[in-house]
Amino acid sequence: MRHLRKVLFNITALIFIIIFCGGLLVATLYNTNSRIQKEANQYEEKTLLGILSPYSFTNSIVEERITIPVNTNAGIEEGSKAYLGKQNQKIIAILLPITAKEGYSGEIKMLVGISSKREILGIKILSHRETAGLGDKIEKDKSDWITRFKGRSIKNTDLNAWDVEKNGGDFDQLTGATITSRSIIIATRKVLNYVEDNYEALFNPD
Amino acid sequence: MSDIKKEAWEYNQVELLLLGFSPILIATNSFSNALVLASATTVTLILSTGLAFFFKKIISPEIKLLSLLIIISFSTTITELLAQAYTFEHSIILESFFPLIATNFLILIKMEKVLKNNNTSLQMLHAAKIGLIGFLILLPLGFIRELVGTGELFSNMDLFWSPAAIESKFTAPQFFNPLIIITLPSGAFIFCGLLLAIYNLIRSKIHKS
Repeated sequence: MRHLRKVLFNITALIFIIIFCGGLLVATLYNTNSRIQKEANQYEEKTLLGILSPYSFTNSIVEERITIPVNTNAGIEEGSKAYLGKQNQKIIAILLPITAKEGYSGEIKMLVGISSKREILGIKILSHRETAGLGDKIEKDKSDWITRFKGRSIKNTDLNAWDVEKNGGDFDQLTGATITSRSIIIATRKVLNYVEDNYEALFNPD
Repeated sequence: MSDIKKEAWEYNQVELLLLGFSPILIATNSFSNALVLASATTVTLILSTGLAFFFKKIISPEIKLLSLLIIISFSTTITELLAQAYTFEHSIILESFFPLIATNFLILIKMEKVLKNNNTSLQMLHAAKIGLIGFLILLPLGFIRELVGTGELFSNMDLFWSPAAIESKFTAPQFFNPLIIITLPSGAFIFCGLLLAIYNLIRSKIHKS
């Protein structure tokens, strides 16, 4: 009997601890939630506008998103959502989430910003597993290599020029990371091709 | 103050320096990261010790470990939420390292001491002191690793204040070639070893005199 009472007491004590700590957690969540949401939105918007600078939009780019159909060739995965930048109800820029499969070690996920003039506005690397010190120079805060795509389009760069300089292309490779550089260059070209093919659906829907 | 010196330099050094903070050593590759992590650890430490003190009466020996772990995980989550609310970009950079604070056994030891000891307020003070010692260990590590590993100092510090208010970033002159290995996890252990060597050097000098 004494034993049973002790067990019951322990169970009650544990439940009490959990309820009390849980209450504390809920209170914190309740008080910080709106702030976290605001900061997260601000952060996302800041990163997105950073890719698309110097363009500015009349809509909130974080809120306007559309789901685009899968396209394995262009590296668009299932359920990925594109961001739309509008000015006076007209889409002037689009941000496409792309997965480049031919990285040196695994997939490279990136966001490619393309203007309605079919030019690259900017690229942001979202995640990658490239070698630190060599392949990770694709990140914008490690080197400015990724900015070299700005203003490029199918029109001003030939099909053969979409390659590293070593192979007779237009883009210099990152030292020691030719495969990484090349996979991004080719992924970017494929996205531009995709936009060319689906221009009406992307920029003039309805 | 002499107490802090005693705890930091004269005993508990292996426990504190090498093991206690090892889960978060990896992420201290810049000064601002070290600052955020040290503050997060301190907040978790004080919060969980406080809660352990609060529940002292109902925690019997049979459920001690279980209840302490529950308390730690809740306080770690609360700390993570606070970090997200007040330094959002750091919480993105440090993403998976906040939950790792829960594995810091220093907190567990401190809570056990609170349960055992009758002089609880003294133990609470000790908990705060351990947090302070965490600052003393992590900040120099972050400082050196950032300087040697990236050739910069105080990057991302502007995320604490408004960017325009302070231009804090310092960049080393061009001829300085950063050692990338230092920013990788192995760099933490290299400098941790060096820190320990310096500590031993100072201690042996103190012992001689």
